[in-house]
Amino acid sequence: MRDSVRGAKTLEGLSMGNSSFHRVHPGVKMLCALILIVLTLSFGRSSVAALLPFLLFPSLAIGVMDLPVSLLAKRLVLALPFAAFAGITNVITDRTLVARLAWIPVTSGMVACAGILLRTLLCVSYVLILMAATPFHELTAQLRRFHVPVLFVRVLEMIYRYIGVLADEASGLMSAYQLRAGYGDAGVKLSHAGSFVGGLYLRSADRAERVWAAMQCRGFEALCAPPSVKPATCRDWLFFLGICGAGVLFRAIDIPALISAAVRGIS
Amino acid sequence: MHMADALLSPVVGGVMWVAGAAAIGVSAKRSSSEDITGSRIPLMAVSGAFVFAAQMINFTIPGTGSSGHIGGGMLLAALLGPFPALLTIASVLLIQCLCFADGGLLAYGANLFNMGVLPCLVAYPLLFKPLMRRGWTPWRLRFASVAGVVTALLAGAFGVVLETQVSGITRLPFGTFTVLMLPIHLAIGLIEGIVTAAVLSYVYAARPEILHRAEYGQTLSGARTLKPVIIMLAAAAIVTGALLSQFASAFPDGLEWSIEKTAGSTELEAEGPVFQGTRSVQEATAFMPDYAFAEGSKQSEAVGTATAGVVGAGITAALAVGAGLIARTAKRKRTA
Repeated sequence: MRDSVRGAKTLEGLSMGNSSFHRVHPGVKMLCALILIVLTLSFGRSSVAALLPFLLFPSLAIGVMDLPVSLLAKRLVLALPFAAFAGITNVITDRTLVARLAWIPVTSGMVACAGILLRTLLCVSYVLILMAATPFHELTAQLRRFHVPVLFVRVLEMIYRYIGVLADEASGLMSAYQLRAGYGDAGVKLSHAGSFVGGLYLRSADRAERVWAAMQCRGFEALCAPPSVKPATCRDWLFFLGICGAGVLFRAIDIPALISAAVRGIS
Repeated sequence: MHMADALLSPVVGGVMWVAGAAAIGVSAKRSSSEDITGSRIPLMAVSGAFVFAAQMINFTIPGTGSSGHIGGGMLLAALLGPFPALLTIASVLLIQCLCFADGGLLAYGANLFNMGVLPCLVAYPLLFKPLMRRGWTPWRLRFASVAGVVTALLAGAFGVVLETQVSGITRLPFGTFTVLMLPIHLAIGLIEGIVTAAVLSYVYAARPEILHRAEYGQTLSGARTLKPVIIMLAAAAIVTGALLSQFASAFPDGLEWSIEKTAGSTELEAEGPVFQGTRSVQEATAFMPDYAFAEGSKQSEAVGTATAGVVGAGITAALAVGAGLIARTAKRKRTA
């Protein structure tokens, strides 16, 4: 549990960097991530090779921002189980032979499975890179400018801040429970779950009200105007055009097919 | 039950996004004035963070050797009321998506619908509240919690099946997929229902005013009905579905149209300056011109095509990753 929160904090720390990706307007980065996700998912279920040029975006971003690949890999593992389930069902149900690689038969289901996993890898990378390049408060400020309801944005910001506090509380409770009950890592017994989780909730609610009172004493207003952020510049829009233009190009032209044709030569 | 982006098509993801955005908008509008002015924001926030933290605690499922965690939608609805609960679970799901890669960004709308709208705006008002109308007793609370959570979770799991099937991601037959998904979630729902009942019983015993406030918040604004919400969600989903379906079916054609306008034909391989250019590049870069395949053999041709395809894909991937490595090396040299 603490590892998960530590991972989020690492991501937040990375977002405070000063690379050229970090300096791009947050709204432009959000739009780019969304458009890339849509382009990536617009490929058919049997497309695998045609998706590979999209690896350029995460690869370049990781390189330019010098991001730790292990952190992204750990987050990716979280996203994989459900996608892997859908992928494996394709392998089992769709056994039409489409090719042979040396002596290994390749079925349509295997191709679809690889496509699902690759699309998951790409989409998760876009989001994580967006988070690693943009401080959370800039994202929420941008949401306000996109006319997302203020109550939702405030709750979002406060949950983000409370998670660390609560995870520490939950982790402490869990350690104490395991030490006293001697159940090891087996988890909380179902008969103890109500008092365990209920106790955590009440302790947290009391703590939250104290924190809120302290914030209000310091002049915090829930419904204050959205923070003013500099508008997007020509450079930001050039970035947008470059990323989205490349994405559309990769969607329109099957680059691996062109390369493989070049490898084989024109007969 | 968090869906990844790769399990949805852009059309289904887009429709669910609109439905999710409509649900957030309506919930923000219908939250009580107390919520809006901020006095309940800390409770909503801590409840959200609590659900987030509670999801990290796994409970052992007796007799199965496995474990599960709570989803939290019904619990939040009982603690906060349906509309604040929806806003809270929406925030939790967005943070999980952005910071923990748990659920995709395009799949956010679908996840919000399956894990937020169904428990908070459907199961809570239609099942939990009517069951609790006669007053709070421990057994009634347990029954309402289990019934509400199980119904919401099964409906959410069925939503996952429908959304994946409509997206055309899996070839698993609809019936088989449903049979695989529902029994698993029935077991998880029973455990979550028991945990939710236990937590609500504990909170009711220690601080009953929290639960009463959520319930009375609803009663005081009795004029509020879910009918407009459901109609709005349905209308938004249908209208957007129709529009996006048109867009989706036209999308490849639109790309072909663009290519036709720039290259003079719908096919890049057709005659023209672009084709001549790529042809000369291909001839110049054919570093395996004597790729040995028996002429006229269809099988060898297929193997050759497959191998060249893999080589092409490998080179593309290597180029993409290589560009990143070069960028990283350059950056490190600059900062050194």
